[in-house]
Amino acid sequence: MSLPRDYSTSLTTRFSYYVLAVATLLAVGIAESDQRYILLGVSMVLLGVFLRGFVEISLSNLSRLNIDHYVKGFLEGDEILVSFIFNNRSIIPILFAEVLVDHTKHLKRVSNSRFLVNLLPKSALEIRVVFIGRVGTHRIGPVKIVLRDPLGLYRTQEIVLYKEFYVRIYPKTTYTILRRIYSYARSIGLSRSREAGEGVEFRSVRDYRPGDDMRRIVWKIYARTGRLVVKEMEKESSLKILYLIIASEDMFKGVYGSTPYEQIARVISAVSRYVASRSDLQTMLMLIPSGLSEIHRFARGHKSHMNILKILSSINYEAIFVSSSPPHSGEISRETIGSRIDLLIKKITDLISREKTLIMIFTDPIASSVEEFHKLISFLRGGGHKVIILIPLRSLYDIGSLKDLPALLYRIKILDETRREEELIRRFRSMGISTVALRPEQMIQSIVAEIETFRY
Amino acid sequence: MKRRDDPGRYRVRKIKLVSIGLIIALFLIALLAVLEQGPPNTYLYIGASPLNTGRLGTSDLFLYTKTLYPGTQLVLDWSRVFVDRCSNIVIVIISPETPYTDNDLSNMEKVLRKCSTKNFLIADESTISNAVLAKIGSDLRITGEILVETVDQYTNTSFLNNSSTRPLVITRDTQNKIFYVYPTIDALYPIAKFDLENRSIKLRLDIASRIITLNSSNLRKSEIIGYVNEIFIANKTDLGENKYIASTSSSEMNGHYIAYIATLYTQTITQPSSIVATPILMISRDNILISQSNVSIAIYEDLGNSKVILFSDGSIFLNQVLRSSYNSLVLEIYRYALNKLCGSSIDCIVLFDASKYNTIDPYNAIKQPSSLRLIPMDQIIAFFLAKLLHPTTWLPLVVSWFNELVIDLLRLSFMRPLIIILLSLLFSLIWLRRETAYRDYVMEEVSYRDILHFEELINQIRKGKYILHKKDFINLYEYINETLRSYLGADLQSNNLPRILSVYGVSREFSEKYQRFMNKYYERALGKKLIHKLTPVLWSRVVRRGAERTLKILRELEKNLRRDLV
Repeated sequence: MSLPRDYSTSLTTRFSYYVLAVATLLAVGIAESDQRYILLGVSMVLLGVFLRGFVEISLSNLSRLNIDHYVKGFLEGDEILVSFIFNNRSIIPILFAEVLVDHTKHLKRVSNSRFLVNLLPKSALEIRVVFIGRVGTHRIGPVKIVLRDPLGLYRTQEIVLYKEFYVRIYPKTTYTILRRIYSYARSIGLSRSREAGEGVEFRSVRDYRPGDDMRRIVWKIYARTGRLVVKEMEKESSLKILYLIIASEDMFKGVYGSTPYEQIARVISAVSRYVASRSDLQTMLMLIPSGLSEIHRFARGHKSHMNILKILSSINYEAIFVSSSPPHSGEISRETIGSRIDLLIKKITDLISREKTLIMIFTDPIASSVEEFHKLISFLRGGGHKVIILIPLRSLYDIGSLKDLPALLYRIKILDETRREEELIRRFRSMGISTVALRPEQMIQSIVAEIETFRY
Repeated sequence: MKRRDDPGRYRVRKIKLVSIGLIIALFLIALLAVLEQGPPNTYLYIGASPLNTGRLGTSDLFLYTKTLYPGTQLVLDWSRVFVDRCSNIVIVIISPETPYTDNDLSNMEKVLRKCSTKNFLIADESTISNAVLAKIGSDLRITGEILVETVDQYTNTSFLNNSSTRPLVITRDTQNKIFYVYPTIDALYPIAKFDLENRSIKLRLDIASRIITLNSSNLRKSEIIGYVNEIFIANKTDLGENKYIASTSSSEMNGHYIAYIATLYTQTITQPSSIVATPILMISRDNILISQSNVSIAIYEDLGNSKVILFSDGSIFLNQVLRSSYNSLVLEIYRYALNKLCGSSIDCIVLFDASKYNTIDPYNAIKQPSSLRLIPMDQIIAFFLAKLLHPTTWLPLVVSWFNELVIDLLRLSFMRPLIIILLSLLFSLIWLRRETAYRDYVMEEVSYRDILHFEELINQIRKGKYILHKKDFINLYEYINETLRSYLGADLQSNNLPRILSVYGVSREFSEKYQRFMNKYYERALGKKLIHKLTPVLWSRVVRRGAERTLKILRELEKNLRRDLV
């Protein structure tokens, strides 16, 4: 690692007090003609010079430091362990070094990120920083170091030792949720297409018609009634789902791990896994303040699920909150959807063909102006596609930061806002658009039910 | 001293301590070295040195020579003369004051060896130059005697009327012979005749001597350039203060003049009423001078590879003569002599000897008014300035004065701590004046903070800085009403609400009280009756009480509903 040339050592305010003490000793020695004070003063001067040399030598040794990192963990809610290995290959120790691991402020850290490091010659040291995972791509680093002498008279500038890197955290699809989806789908018979056709699921019996496959004749019924009947199977249904996220920065606000986006990511992750297991086609398009992310075509199976997870985990909170910074973040976000509605229409047109597609739009009240959406929905419904809009009631996502009485008081205070959001949802519904209000405690079952009702 | 919190935001001034410190250290070392050397040795020349710009110097002659021959050099030390190979060299010596040592002569010889022809122009009334003449093998010598003009010259009318040339006394001896008495100093300078190639020049000499030839039978070529007719030749010892020449006005001994060295006495005659001093002239007939004719004062001698032109009077080349009306005559003689030695070549190297002259300390010069008159004032000022500015003159005094001051100050009881403080501050300021010190700080860790939709409201609620209004009570009522309706199928207006709540663990009594409370204040909040509008209600307290009771109910409901679901 080569350091920039202009890194230098500065004096601290302690140094000025130190100089004052030295000056006083020398002055007393001169005034009192006492050599002891003078000797002490001179010794302190020499000590100051030595300590300066100490810091400079350590600074020059930094370029020989070898640093590496590794990351353990990749799911939201889990502990993400980031380790840095410092390898001092020289014979010069690096002592009293303050090391700081910088990171995005949108990731919650549960351990220290600042360390006092003493690196002995020809030795290695590991420091660990632990985070609680959150869906998205998060910046870890840079790793900075400040060198000081033991008395704190000198201090280097903050030196970047290791550049930043990014950690990708995926939404978690717990088995509990998956089991619920599967069991719910089976309990209400939603896993069947209920259409006659080639398949493996038994649907019903009917009279034999010429041309029917002889292997499907139910001989038991013939033996009993003398009537030729055949088994009719259920048609294998192939679903096409497009997950469309159109979000302002409000989607990313809320209690850690419980923002509307994170909830949506979990939902989409679970649903896409369910859909992948059924070999249905699915893809995703995401328009957020920091830009547009897309998968260019529909896919089946595990690959489609992984592609969707990659898109979901690609969001960068720092980019989102920078790109929609004050003063009028709402207006910017509205501008995002408003000015890009034509772009969205074009992208969707490129993705979907005339085959009917279930389009699930996840959006928030700020990004979704009713009039602007109407244009999009009209286009989509005009193509024969089914559209469902899922809107999180953002006022409810902050409650998690409060408990008991304060939580109840908050609910009271924002009740009007919640009603406004619900009114918006009613307006969508009055326009004939299937709209679901998402709450923090939203059950995935209801979403799954929507998917399955679409099948018919 | 500046203080900053973030060094990165401010440019750090680079301190050139090393270079400044080095310069200061070198300066102090140089100062000490100069002090150790002692005061400057400043000397003034008052004789015929070419470095003397006064009346009695030959600086004008040197400069004139340089205009004739650009290769002219001053020689301050014969061991440090650097001359390349040359064809023609002339050494000019005018009235040296200190003798030539063997070292000088051998160094001179080394210099001359580099040149093919070596010539000398010597003008000296003393015997000092004889050493040089002997070294080069010349037969010419200067006797050192002083030439005194015969009185005959001074008895014509013009001289008798001139105060500077008038005899001191005109007296008669017993035989009634007239004697003219002149002081030996500053009088009776002889008139010499110089025969140059084209013409003759008459020039009055100053204190002049005569030239003799050691071996007249030598076949070397020599030529008399200048001579004096009928002149007295006196020893130096015969001349001086209180010494006079008494001479007759006409020649007495075989056509030669006679003069006597006379001493003047002053005898005091005491008369009854006064004291009168009369001069009495004592003429000593033992000390007789007989004039000689055709005494050589300038001779040219050809030694083969060397030529010598010798003048027995260096005074004619002094600045006072060159600055007088005799300037042109003297320079003509000088040019003639140089030309005879250098030839027409402009490349002739002329070495002007400046090494054999006495110097005087400026301090001593001041003490001797007679010397002071001879030295130009600008030289005196320059020398005194050099003395004054030298550190040995003022530095020890300053240090001593400062030392005394500090000691006196330290004797005062209140000064000691004050001095210590001032010294400390001064030292600190000097060291830190150009330094920039920064406040040390630890690097700040990044902390996570929830970004909430209604952050301001949540902060207010957390800090307890909120005000609850009637509207908030209405919201509370409607919220709990909706919740109860959706979960229990009964709302706050239902009569069987207490019974239903009791199933979920809420006591009937509490439920009834709660229902009454909520409905009562709801009506008041809506203002259905006039009295409700007139009666003031502390809604903040009411809302809080209602919320607390609602919370209790919700907790029981949550507990029991969860139990049911599980």
